[in-house]
Amino acid sequence: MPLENQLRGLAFTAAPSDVSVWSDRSSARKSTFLVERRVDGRLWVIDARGETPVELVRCFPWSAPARYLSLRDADGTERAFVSDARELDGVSRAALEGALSQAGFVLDIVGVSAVEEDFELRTWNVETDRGPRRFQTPLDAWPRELGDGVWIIEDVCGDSYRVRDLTRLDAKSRSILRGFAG
Amino acid sequence: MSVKSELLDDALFARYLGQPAALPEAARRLAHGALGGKVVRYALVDLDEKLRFCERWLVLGEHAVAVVELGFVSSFPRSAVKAVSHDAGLSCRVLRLHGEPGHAPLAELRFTQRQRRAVDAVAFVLEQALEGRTVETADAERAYRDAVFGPVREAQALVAPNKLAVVWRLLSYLDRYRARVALGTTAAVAIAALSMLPPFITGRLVDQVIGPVQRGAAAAPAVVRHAWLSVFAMGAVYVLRQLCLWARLRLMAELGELVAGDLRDEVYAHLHRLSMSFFSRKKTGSLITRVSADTDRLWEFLAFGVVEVSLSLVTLVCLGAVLLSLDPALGLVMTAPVPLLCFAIYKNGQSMERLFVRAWRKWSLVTDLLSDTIPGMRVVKAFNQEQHENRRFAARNHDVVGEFNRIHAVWTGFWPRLTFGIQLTALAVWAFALPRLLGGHSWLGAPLSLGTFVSFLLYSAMFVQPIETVGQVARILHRATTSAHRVFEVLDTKPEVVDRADPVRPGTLRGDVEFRDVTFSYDGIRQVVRGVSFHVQPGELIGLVGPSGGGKSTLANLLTRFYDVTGGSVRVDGVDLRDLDQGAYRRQVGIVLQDPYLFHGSVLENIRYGMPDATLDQVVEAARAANVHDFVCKLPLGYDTIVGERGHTLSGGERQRVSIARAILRDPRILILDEATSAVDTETEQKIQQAMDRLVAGRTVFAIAHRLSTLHKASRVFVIENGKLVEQGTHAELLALPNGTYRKLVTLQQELHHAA
Ligand SMILES: Nc1ncnc2c1ncn2[C@@H]1O[C@H](COP(=O)(O)OP(=O)(O)OP(=O)(O)O)[C@@H](O)[C@H]1O
Ligand SMILES: [Mg+2]
Repeated sequence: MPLENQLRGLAFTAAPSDVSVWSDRSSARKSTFLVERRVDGRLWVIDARGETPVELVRCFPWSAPARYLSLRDADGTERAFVSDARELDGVSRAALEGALSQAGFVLDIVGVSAVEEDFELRTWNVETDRGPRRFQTPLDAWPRELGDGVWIIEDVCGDSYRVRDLTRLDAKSRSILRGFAG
Repeated sequence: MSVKSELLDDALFARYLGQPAALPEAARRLAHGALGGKVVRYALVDLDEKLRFCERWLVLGEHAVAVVELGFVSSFPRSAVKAVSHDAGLSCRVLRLHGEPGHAPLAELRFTQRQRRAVDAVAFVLEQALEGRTVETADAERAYRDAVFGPVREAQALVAPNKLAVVWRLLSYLDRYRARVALGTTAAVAIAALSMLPPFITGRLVDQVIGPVQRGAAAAPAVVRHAWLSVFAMGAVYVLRQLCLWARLRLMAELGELVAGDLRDEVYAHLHRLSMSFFSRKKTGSLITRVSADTDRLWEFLAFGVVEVSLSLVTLVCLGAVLLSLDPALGLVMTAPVPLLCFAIYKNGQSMERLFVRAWRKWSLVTDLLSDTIPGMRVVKAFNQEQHENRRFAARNHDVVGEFNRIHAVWTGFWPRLTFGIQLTALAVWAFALPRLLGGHSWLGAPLSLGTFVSFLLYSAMFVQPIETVGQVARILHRATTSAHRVFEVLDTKPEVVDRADPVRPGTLRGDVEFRDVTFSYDGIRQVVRGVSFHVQPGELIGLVGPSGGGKSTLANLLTRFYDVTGGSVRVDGVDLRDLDQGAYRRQVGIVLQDPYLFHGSVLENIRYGMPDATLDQVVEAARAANVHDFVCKLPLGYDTIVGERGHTLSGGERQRVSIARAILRDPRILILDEATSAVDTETEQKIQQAMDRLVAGRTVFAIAHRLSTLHKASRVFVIENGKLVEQGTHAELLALPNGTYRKLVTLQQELHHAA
């Protein structure tokens, strides 16, 4: 069948009030799978096809941290997709929430003691909520603004550091950060 | 590893990462006990169950795995590990080593991205063991250091001890031009010395001629000769000084140019020695500025900076000495504030630095936008986003203007204050001198002659410029060392693919290609090729097919030795590629890249690129074979038509065909076609196919293709999926496999074909 006809076919089968193919129908959908955290430490998806250990992938780690979750098996095939955890049952939701908090873990910067420039690298000496930490960023990479005073610094190893609210840091840290954020 | 580099590593770990540079002794002893033998790999595990920092060590032995923390150790045999699983996260990753299914994991380890490479290296050994493969695990210490320090080293290939060392190294480039440097320096010193003379002569003129004559104490005619002689002497000094100035400027400017030229040559030549991995790591733009802008800055520094700074220092010292010897008291008034003023300039520079960082950041946002949207103009227009882009630009531009105005506010306030400081010194000189000029003895000293005072005033004017220069030494040095470092970094990068000391120089290759259990990873993390083995006879045409991202181009990269394998070996005519002379080997290998690259130049030059001395007959022949000839004849200047920067005036298919001609002309023994015909129409493809059939005779060809119809002539087809060779055989054999990937691909393509 030519593509055009197929598309027309699609439009006809859609509900009259819902002509757009792109409309958000997630609320109408009830999940057909369960998610659980098993004793082996992994997340498992249980659906009509069986039980599979999966890895949690967040589609928008910064823009929508708790939504749009893709659960993928060892081959990287998507076994389940959760656009909103509210469409899941309680047990699945609890399992996902635990996994989410771990996947979203970043070090929160609570103070900055020094930023030194070296060739090509900038070394940050910071105090995080987990203790002191030293890390490097390339000289030409800058912290990224997420809005609402939240800034993210990604170091050369790929770790993320977050400033939750620039305005609430102490005066010294703020003055050091002036060059880099804001 | 030598003791020295170990010490350096320890210092670097402390300076950059603040974590142990090796498994601590206590933990090592514990691990030894638990493992009952050698440590083959280890990694730091830096997060606990509650995601707090901790120091735990995952240690892999030959037969067991141990986890050590604070005097505690737990261990289990390697054979107990039945599966390995990973969780990814922003700053927390998890590695689980599973025993029997349905049981709690043997170990569940959480760690930050910083430890990832080291932890994954341990996991990799276990994972490979599960698939029945062993991994070479020599030198556990080295592996750990490289894994953890790797990202820092990649960002900064050259870890320089300090800025001074970089300056010395830069100055060592002057060695070749010693005579020039000596002359230039002499001229510079002469300038400083000569500059001292005119004020001195003026002072004497006032005291010995003008004063006495005006007072009537001396007869005019007797001293007039003396006066004119002085003026004449001053004239001579000026002429001499300008001559020296000219000599210095010219000598040093040329010298700077020579050294910058040397550096450019050296860097450019070195770039060509570096491996492909270097170029995928560094941004092209940054490499271009290293060869161009950075060497230009070094010219500036060598031509002017060095001399200017040392000259200013010499001048300041000379001035101080002259003033102090002319009149110690007044000299002190004049010279004492000088260090203070220099310091003020230095301080101001420091505080401007932070403002500059901010301004640079905002500025980079503007340039990023430019380098993003201008090449992407077509997309902007197609999606009608001009308004949006304009707004984005205006906002960033506005920010930049604000930042720079803030900087201007600071420096414009500073310089008048500084000048005022210098003028204050002059006022102080007046204040101290006046009583002595007017009224003989005072507590300030003996009476002062008018001439000495005039000399003083003239000298004091000479202070301004050197003070400014010396105050900026820090900035000048900073600029120069940064540029020098960026240049030296390239020079000090060692190519990863190197010939061994005494490589085998192959004669004419037969074209026998063997992959033996080849594994490969671009980044040391993700395995892109996993245990690929095959043997290809000379003259075979091998089709490589498989899903996108499967690793086909990567296999081609390994065969051309753009990269060295991580495990296993690639053998050509029975010799390991790593033992072959790269140059001699590549001369016999032709490759048509997936994304063909044409240089700026004529079509002729592009076709002849690999063989500049090919005759025009050969060029036309190759062009005909690649089906280039006909369309080239339609171009305004035929083969002499310049094709744009990246061959933009040619269509994608035309570009591909030119690059095929380029490869054909070299008459390679091994030919690799990476999707060489993906952008041409069916008819052209057929023609290339026919040409190819002629061409293929007697050489080994690897043809990567998505369009399977291209491969009906292939002697064998390899299906590459997920880095593995999943199927191989003739077209017919593969079609016969009931659940084969190839069969599926063929059926799908046929369906599409029929549907169309
Ligand atoms: N220079 C590189 N650095 C890091 N990873 C790379 C590099 N080149 C390719 N890769 C990765 O390696 C994998 C295999 O890539 P490769 O180019 O070999 O695939 P391919 O089979 O040629 O795909 P296609 O058919 O789309 O050309 C991909 O996942 C890709 O992202
Ligand atoms: Mg490819």
